Amino acid sequence: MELIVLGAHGTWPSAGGATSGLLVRHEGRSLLLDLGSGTVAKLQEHVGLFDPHGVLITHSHPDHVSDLYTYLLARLFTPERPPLIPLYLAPKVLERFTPLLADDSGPMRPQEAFDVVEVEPGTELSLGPFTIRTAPMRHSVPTLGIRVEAGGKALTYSADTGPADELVGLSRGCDLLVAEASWQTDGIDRPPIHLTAREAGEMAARAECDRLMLTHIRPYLDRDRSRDEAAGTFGGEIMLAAEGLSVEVGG
Amino acid sequence: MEVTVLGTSAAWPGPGRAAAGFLVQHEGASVALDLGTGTLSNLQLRVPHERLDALLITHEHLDHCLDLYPLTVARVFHPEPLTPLPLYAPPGVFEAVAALEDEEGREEMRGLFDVREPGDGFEVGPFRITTHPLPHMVPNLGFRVEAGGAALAYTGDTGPSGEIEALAKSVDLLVSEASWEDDDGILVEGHLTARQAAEHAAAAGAGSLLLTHFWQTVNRDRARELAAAAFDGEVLVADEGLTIPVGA
Repeated sequence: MELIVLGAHGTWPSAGGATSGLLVRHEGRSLLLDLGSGTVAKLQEHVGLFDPHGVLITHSHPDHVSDLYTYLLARLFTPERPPLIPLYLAPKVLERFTPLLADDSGPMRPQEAFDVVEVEPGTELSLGPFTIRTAPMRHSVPTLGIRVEAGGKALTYSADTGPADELVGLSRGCDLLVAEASWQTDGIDRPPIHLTAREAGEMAARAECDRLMLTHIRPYLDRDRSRDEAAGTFGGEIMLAAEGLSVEVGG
Repeated sequence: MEVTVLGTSAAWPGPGRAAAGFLVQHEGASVALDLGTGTLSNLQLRVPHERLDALLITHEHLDHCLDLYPLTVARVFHPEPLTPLPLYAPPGVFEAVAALEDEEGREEMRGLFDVREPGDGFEVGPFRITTHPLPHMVPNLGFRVEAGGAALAYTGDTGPSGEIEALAKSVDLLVSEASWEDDDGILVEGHLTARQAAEHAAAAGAGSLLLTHFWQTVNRDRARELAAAAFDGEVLVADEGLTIPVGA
């Protein structure tokens, strides 16, 4: 199983970067996890625009979903209409996304391009070779943590979350944990809806994950410092997500 | 004055591309014309987002304004407080993007931008800007930007119209949409072919023509050839990251 980072930045894109998006591939099948700003253009640098076999959106925040609009346009307005693929949505995503479609552009219903499936946290899904487990994360809106298994390997994607036992449970023993690290330890008292890099390391250590990839780092933060913070709590290999980075999960 | 191409794709971006957007700079001042998906990322390769002096949006279709949203969030979380960014656009643009937010979020967004009625024209720093409504599916404003004795015009999305000549009269550079390669490629009304863009550039007496807003199936080299057959000036094809001096 291969993981390709399409968007590595939290909240807004850095210069040349994109917000949240991952592509998971195994034996010719692929799954998109989140579609933040700029990710549809990045996707096509790795696979065909219509190659993915499914899309999963972890929560309703626009830095994870805004290019779903772009992807919907592409799937609706390409003359050789591609077949419907599953679109798995966390609760509230459709509700928040639909007003964006309220212009005059004709039939802009997601249901015309996708098999739309709303997913309650805790649901288990199956798509081709992928077994997908979900768990509720601790964020300001309903958010799905995602564990994807294929070919005997497992990766977990935290989406956006504060420190959460549910994330430790979901990622237990996985080969790779892709964890958000929006913040660094700086003494500022914030609501527990995101992780510091140090906390991301703690999650990976408690879950006994093999490797940790930090993502969703705010564009203005020193990324090396994020890595150092996580290394203070997690002894395994730590990677920094970057647009275009490709990793063999369990490799 | 110089213009940097931030995004060239109609509707959705191709590999490594972005939807509509341009950055116009003169003597340290910067205005963005349209901000489609992927353009905020490209803009920051040229200038920090907080140094923008104004944002000009041609119309409410999201391939021209969706990155207003990440810009909003970037401004919310900017380490120092920022004064509201002047936003000139036809009615409905701000609301189209603000639809992503609930009422509380929309209120916060309103505080980050100074939404201004463009009227017939306005000034931003060294730039003198005039507006011309052009025919599209929704209200669309063409912008003419002048500074330091140079002038450029940008169509946004438009069908064929005599108004384009008024917008681009004797400009050094006309930045024109050319959604379709030729008549056979027209999918919907309200856009131009490459040849039509060139005919308007010729009628307006523009110095050079920059073609942009290409549908995914368009062969850009072929579009340039078709335009060159109808316009004697230089025909350029927009490409993400390209910077062009205007009137130099």
